[in-house]
Parts: sequence; C-alpha cells; structure tokens
Amino acid sequence: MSTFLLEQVLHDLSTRREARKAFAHDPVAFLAGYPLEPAQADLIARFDVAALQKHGVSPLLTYGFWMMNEPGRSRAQYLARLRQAS
Amino acid sequence: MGRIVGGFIMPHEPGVFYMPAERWTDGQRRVMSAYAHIRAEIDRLQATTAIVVGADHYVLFGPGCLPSFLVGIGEVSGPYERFPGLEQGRIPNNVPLATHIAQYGRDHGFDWAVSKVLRVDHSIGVPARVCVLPNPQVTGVIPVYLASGVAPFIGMKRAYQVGGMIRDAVHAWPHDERVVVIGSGGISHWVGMAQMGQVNPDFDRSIIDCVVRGDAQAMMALSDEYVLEQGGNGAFEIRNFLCMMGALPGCTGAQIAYEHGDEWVTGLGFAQVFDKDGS
Repeated sequence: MSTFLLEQVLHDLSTRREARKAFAHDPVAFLAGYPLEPAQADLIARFDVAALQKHGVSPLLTYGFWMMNEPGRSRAQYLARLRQAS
Repeated sequence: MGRIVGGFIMPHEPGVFYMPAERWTDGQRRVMSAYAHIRAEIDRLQATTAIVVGADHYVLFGPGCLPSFLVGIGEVSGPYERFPGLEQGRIPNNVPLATHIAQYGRDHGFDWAVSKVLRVDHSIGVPARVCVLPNPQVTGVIPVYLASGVAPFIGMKRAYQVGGMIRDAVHAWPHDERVVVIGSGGISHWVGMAQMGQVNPDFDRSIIDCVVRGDAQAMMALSDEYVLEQGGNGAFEIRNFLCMMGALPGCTGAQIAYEHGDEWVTGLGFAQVFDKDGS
C-alpha cells in the first residue's frame, strides 16, 4: 500500500477546489481516478484519519483533508475521531 | 557591502490573527505587543531587506516535489490564507540579492531549489506583513522555505549550515544592504495529531534559551525522536530558528515574550538575536 499515493490524493483534496467538488459529489467516482487499492479508497471515503495516519500519512494532510472536506469541518470532531481510535 | 544586522524568532500561529479584537485575552495582547516590538526593532536597525525562513505545511509543495531548501528569486505574494486585516497581494522581493544568494549557494555546495513565482503561506506571510513591510525603509522580503514541516526533513545541522551560507552570501554582496533574518515557527505543537492543543512549556523555554544563549550546538544535538516526543511534529520548525542562528553564529540575544494558552495550539516564542558588531 503506497503511503505516498494516499498523500497525493489528500493533497489534491486539500488544495484543489475542483477535486473537493468532485469528491463531495461522488467520492467513489472521484477516488476511482487514482490507482488506489479498494481498502485505501475506503479509508479516504470514510474519513478514517486515524487509520490514514497509521499508514504513515502526514498528520498535516489528514487535518487539512478533514477541515476542507468533512461536512462538519470541525477540529473538535477531528480530534475526537483520532482519539477514539487511540 | 551587505551585512546581517540582527535576527528574530517569532511564531506564525494562525489563531492569533483569526481572533477578533473584542475577544483578545491578556495573553493575546502580549503576543501582539511582541510582534510590535519586533516591528519597531526592525525599524531601529534600519533594515533594508528581511530574509524570512518558514515551513510549508504540505500545501505549497506536494508529494510531487518537496524541496529541502528553497529561495524565492522572483515574484512573491501572499499569504494565501485570508486573515482579517492582512493584505494578500504582492510582497516586494529583493530579487537581485535573492538571486545572488541562490547563485552563491550553488557555487559553494548548496544547491538551492528556487521559485520564480511564489505565493507564500502564513509562515512567511505573517512575519512579512506584520513585522517587516510596515517599515518603509524595507524594500524587500526574501522568502526561504526549509523542509521543516513535512517529512523528509532537512537535517538540523544542514539547516544551520544554510543560515551560514546565507550570511556568507550577504557579506559577499557588493552593495549596501542591511539584512535581518527571521526564523518563523511555533515551538511545541502537535499539528493534526491526537495531542493537538497540548504544549510543553519546559521544552519551549529550553529552545528559547538556546536561541538567547546563541547555543546552536545544544539545539542541533536534539534528535528528531526527542523533538517529536517533547514538542510534537510542529516543533520540527525549530530548524527555521537554527537557520537564523547560522546567519548570526555565536550571537546572543534576549527573549521578547513567551506565551501559551487555550487561545492557540502552539507555544509562542519571541526572541531577538543581536549582531556582534553592534545591533
């Protein structure tokens, strides 16, 4: 499983407006545009930031991804999700 | 000839600048006073150029290209983040000196990455807008990014060496120029990690103490594992402080302020380093 590819997807979703729009509209279709394994795509689609970090993804990216894409955009909810898993 | 006339460390915590004035705490007022103090010191030093050393937060640079150290040699603008009261447009660069630093480095074993058009983030935009550009004698801000926010990180010693190289390049500059170097960064903070919101004041004070004593060796002796454990992933930004210290080797200084609190997610350290020749 390539951590670097996961980081590329999250970087795109953090910095590119059109990527965020496409992801919000249809996450499965958006993620199909990357050569991800199904399990990788699932982590992103489910906003499983704890698992993404366990796979080595930078916390800067998981945080940016959450704050720019998760519907609640809440730091408190982000941290609750992380802490729930630890 | 060019001369480094002083150095500073300061944080770029976004929370400071998102906070509306009516909600300012006493700590926030002290933080804003510290920024004002640095702004006034840059004026007192009659600096004409500021070199601001910052960290990308995995926004400007992506997995496709992560520079170890980069200097902006052309158009500069920012910060790209919108903060109340802070402009986001063009930032004047000292293009001739920035280009000289890049070329001098390449001639002396430092293969700079360069940016011809650079939209900076808050790590450079905040010091530039808040402390540097309000001084009318300043004609340029030279942005330098170190790999101090995103792995793989530049080595601590290399960060210090880059600062020394900047000093040598400025001294080799044949035109009159008074340069200040700013190391921009928070101290302890856990960005995006489960501990986000915690700080470690003891660690923070030990880092400020290194800066004030001019003790780069002690800071360079800290392992990444130790820094991560004691200061979190955000504390890797102390590389930016080391770069400033490399530009003022052996110079001592004074703490301006230290704050931490629920208002922010990082320990906020402000200090000034004095040039041995009289600043």
